[in-house]
Amino acid sequence: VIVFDPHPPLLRWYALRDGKSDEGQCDLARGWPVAVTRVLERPEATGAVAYVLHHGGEVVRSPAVAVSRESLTAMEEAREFLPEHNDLTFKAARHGLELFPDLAHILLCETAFFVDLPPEASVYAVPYELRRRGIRRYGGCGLGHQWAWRRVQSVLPRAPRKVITVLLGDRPSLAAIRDGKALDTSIGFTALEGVISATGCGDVDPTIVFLLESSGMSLREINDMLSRRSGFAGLVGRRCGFSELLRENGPAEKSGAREILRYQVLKYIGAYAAVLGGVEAIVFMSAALLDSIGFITGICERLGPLGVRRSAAVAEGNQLRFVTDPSGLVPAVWLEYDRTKVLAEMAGSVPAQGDLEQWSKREDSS
Amino acid sequence: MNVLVFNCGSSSLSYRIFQASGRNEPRDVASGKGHRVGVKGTEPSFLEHHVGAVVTRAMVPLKNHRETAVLILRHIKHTGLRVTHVGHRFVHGGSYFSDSVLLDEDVLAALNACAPLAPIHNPTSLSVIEESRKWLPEAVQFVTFDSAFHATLAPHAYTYPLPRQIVKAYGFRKYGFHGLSYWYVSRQAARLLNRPLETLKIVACHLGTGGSSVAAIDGGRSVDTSMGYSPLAGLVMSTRSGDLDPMLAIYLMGTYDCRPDYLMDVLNKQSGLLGLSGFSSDLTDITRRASETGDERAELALQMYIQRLKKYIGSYFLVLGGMDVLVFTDDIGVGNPLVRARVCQDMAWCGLSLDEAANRTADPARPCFLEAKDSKVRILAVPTQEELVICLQGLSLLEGREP
Repeated sequence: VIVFDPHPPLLRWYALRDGKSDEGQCDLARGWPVAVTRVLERPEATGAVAYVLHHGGEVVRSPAVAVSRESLTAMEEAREFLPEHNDLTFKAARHGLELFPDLAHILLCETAFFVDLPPEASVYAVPYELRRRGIRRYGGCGLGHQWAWRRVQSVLPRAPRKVITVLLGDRPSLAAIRDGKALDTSIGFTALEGVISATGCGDVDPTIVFLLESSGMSLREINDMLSRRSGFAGLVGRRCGFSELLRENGPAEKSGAREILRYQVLKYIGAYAAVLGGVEAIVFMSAALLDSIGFITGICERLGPLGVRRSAAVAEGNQLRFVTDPSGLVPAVWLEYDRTKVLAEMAGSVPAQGDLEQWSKREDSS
Repeated sequence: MNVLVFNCGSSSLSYRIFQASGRNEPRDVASGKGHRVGVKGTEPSFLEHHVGAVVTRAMVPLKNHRETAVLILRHIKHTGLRVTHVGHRFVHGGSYFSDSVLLDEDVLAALNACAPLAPIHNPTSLSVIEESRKWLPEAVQFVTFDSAFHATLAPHAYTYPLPRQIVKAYGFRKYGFHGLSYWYVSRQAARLLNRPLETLKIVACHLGTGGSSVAAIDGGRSVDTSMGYSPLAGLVMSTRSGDLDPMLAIYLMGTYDCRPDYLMDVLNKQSGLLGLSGFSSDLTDITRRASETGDERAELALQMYIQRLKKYIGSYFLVLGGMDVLVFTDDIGVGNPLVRARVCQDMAWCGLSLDEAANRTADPARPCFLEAKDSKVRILAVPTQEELVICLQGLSLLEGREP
């Protein structure tokens, strides 16, 4: 499997075959056809080629869907939702389809899992005239949250129906999922909403924006400050990633950023327990357990009121490990979040050929 | 001494006159309230006065708080009661005020500087203060602040993760409001449960006809609350949106070229229940229409109001590490059994189980326990008495000055 993932101005690619992965950046300076051909001539391209769309608006409604040149044209309506990213995705897909028509081309969409959030989670309490203009909560990182839901179904002895998924990293997010359907998520209209991130402020009183504006800052400056200079970076005083934030006795220790993240994750878990009417499993995802085990068990220690029983046991088991006693009332589990593998697995869940409609029905009923 | 207390809500103006002498609890001698001040709803505004057992009620247009204050001050003058002190509730004291103060010209200037911090409340409180000074020039005036109770929040609860120098320059942090009410109801809960306040984990919901918030109170100290730097954040309120993506504010100003003061007005005065339902900011109107006609927008408004509140209760349950009592207060909190019933639905996971009959028949004027026998958490509806708290805070401020 090959996956294209836009990070403007760069277009990254990941390749996975027989458990071995590789990654790189497309050489866009040499023109699109050359750049895409170079990647798709790799040996991993015998299976599927996937393109990550970071924002599908209300246009792209399937997290993973096989595309043709015709269906892609219809989906390109979603370009405006995140023009810089989406342009890269659509261009790559268009060239891929033209140059390698015999491969299976799949569009992976980060917002599609949340496109049918119930209205109480998707709507903002603003006048209808504003809501009509596409102002709603879209969510994000849906592929990871949906992947975690699927994994935890197959690995736990009793398949949980009410699950809270917690994606930890430079851009943490959470989702409340019941019977495979997302009921709420922390990312809103944009990824600025939600928990604190490496450079983003997360939930703050919107009045702050107006006060900054009236003090003479331009909207661009405010946007830049809230999205790129806040979060861990704002508190620590320089750029600081998630793994550095967790390092004991590191320079980030005194900034309070770690405690704020821990506290916000805890509050979202409590809120989502209310959304789900109780919780049957909590899934944490992060890149490396060794880095984050202390942080995650720190949260679990405060989940006693939810029925999570603390235990020192960390059970090994095929990518999934328990951070609390698996015999406890509500298991807390950890999944390794390897973006390449997650995207490849989500792309692999699309049947190469066959009746897509039937497939989507099966998805709904599962 | 007779203390007149004004309590500016966002859509109401209450007053109460207390007779205070020595160490006795102040005695309430007259009171009244302007209802639906400036509200766009289907029901008319009215003004009521209570003196002893005598109640007079007048259906009068109450366009704003200043006009309502004039009607009240004129009425008091007619009754012949001599007012010696006037206490005011001021929502947002920012970083200027962390405790009650006596009013003088310097304080008034500082209050004016705080006006933009709570664009609905602070200017209305200022207009009531101005009219009181005009009508009662002899009386000593003092001001109490709603943000003071939440001064106990820990840094991880009050910090906004913005660049340090910006936070320092602007004083951005979570302040929180309805502090007078939380101070009162947490003490009432302890008294009614017959348990020391220091041992109680309380989640308190102050649900007003204008603004609403939730607080997590541990041993009498506030540990978190839903409103933020301003009263815009948090729950879905009558005309305020509550929490939303801060990028929305940037996006709307940029894309539609709205002026910041216009957009701020939209989010503060045209959003929330009014924006969702499209016809009323009054939850009573909305619940009625939702249950009678199944109106989709009314149902959405109600559902969002309930869902947001449940999420905060869930959060604070974990923040406190458990919950001994869930408190409902203020007009909607004590007066709307449907809201309480829907909030407690599917909340067995945090130990809540409501007694449907007790909930339906609860007297809004008295404290009532509403939990079922199997409930692990007590559920209490209790009327708040912000005016009494204002009076008590004023008295302790005046101690030593009064003969």
